[in-house]
Amino acid sequence: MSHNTESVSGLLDGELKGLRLWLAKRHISACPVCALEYRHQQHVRRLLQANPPTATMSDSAEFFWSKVKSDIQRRGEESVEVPLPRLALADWLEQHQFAMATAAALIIAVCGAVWFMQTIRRAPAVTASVATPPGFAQIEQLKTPVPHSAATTFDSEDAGVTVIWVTGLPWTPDMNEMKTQFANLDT
Amino acid sequence: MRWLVAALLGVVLSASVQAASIEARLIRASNETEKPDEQLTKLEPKLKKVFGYRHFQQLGLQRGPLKENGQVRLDLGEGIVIFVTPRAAEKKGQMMDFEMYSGRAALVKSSVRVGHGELLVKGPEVGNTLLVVSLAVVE
Repeated sequence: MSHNTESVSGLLDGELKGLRLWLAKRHISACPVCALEYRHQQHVRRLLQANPPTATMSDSAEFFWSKVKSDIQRRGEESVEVPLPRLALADWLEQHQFAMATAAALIIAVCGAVWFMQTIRRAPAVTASVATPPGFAQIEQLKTPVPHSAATTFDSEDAGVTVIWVTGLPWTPDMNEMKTQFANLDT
Repeated sequence: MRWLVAALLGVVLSASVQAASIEARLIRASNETEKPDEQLTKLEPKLKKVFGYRHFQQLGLQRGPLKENGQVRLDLGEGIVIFVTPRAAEKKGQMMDFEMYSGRAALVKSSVRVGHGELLVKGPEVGNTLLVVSLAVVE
């Protein structure tokens, strides 16, 4: 909170309420410049209270108020246009500073929530695409009962296929020999 | 009008309940200079990338319907037989048990989920050639 003599005046006049009252008190207790201003204005007010102005009127008070009353009655329901003060943008912002701060905080919170939700939604999609590219098969179990053979599996990115690569199978010189050899191989 | 609606409904229903099939090929890879096998036009580029051979010849092709927990036996020739037992059709693909035999010898036993692409199995080497089995789920 910046130094503001209006806040000091408002505090002394009892015009501040709620959060503004609390902020003004807190600032004055922490700021020596404003504390000095506060004490100065408080001193002036005490002096004014101790020495009230002595008004001198040509008419008696009763007569004065009767003139006011008759003037009001004479005017009756005549409308009086009171010009509304035009507020500059800075004045408007100052008047609505707490509303503006609340709105800004809400916007930031909503943006943060949207960003967070998008991050959460995006994360599993990336994981899934890395783990299981579309088109590839997924091997859950794999074994090769032939003795001394082994099988591995891989996804060929170039070819776009999944391959079960069996090694260690007996080599045979031709198809007939293969049939004979594997026919007698009991697994 | 009613007959037309009934006929259309029948066509739609029959199309929707049409079961997927498993298609298996036995392929021989070699470096001998032979004419390209027209049956492998689509698959040959993939086979070359994976196995590196220059020529691929299809020795057998079999197709069978996939019915849950119903075993399919596909005899691909040259003593190579595969058994496929579908487990569950999922969004990601068809889950199945797959066994590949040569004679009495089980070369591979696997549980696999096959999606839109092929599954290739490198089989035994015979002379200067290599036997490959390809497996694909087709609608």
